[in-house]
Amino acid sequence: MKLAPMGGQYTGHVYAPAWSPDGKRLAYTQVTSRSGDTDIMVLDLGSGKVRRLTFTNCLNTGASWNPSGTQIAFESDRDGGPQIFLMEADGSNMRRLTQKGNYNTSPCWSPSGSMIAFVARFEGKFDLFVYKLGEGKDYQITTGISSSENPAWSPDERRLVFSSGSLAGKRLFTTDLSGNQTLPFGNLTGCEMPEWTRSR
Amino acid sequence: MRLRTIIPLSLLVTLGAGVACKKPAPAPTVDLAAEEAKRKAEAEEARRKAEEDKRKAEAEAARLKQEEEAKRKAEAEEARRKAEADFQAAAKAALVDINFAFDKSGIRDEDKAKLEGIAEFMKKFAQANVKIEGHCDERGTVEYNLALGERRAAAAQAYLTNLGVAAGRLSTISFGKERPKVEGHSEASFLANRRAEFKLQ
Repeated sequence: MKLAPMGGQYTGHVYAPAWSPDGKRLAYTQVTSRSGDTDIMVLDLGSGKVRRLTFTNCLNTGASWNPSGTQIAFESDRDGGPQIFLMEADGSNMRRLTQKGNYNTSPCWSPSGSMIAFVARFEGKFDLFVYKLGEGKDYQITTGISSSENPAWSPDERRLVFSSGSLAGKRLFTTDLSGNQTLPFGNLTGCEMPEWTRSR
Repeated sequence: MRLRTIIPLSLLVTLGAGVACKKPAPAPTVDLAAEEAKRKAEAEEARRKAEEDKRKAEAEAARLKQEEEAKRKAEAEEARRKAEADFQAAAKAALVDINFAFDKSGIRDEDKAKLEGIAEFMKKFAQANVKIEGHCDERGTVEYNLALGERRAAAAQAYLTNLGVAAGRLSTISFGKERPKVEGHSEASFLANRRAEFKLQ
């Protein structure tokens, strides 16, 4: 295993890494100011160079690549509460995606790139939503299960796997996109941040 | 003339013979060797005693010095222990959590006095270096709460530096929502978990 040090002029804490689909770049979050603001960085593994993509004095985190590696979705609280934003992989053409509510986080791009799942605080609870890029609209998926978080897509885009429940008792569930078929996934507790991979 | 000479001689002889014939008085017996031995023994005894006295005096001085040293060390240790206890007690009293509103990192008015107490503690105890931990409640995503916890810790750090604490004595870390302080899902539990903790390091 070869460890590559993070380069660049920034020395704050680093977390939330996300590989680009081709595995040649790594997006991550880094603290960039004394006030604790964070920004999205992209490390090019080939050159070792770091590129800072966001420059606002706020929290920018949770980078998620689109399947072609040309765009990055992320969450930012530049307008107050956290909202989902999109930008090109070089940081250009930045625009806000979610418009409703004041707490939208955890973007996760679907395998085809046509949808982005995210978590919204809605009526005091956290639920899963899906934003359909072609329509420019979002749809609520889960209801009635408290603190549903960390969505990840099935490879066929028909279902989402997610964690729900309190911190220690978090369990995994899957749901179809209508939200009508929400099923517990196994009996394990204390689970979160699932990934769904195609069997080989 | 000759006769006159002979008579005194004979007289002398006669006197001498008379003297020689008396029992001689015993001469005084002086055992010089014994005297010398005695003198030497007394000198040796005196030397030995002087040495013994000196040794005892030195031992006593050493004992007193050792006692003094032990006392000094004990007093120093006691003073160190007391200073450490005072330090820990002051730290425990001063390093109390501050809390935050949901999705906020601003210092609440009711927490400013706590931060002033922490600043006073750090000014009083120059050896105190503090790590500020930022925490969140269980709601929201891991990534966002890590960032939010970082900003909460940074807000506390900035407030303390504005109160005159050297920035180099403060460090920050975020644990996001991974280390809740209390269990439960009430608003009171959430508030207790949205916090900055101050730890000696």
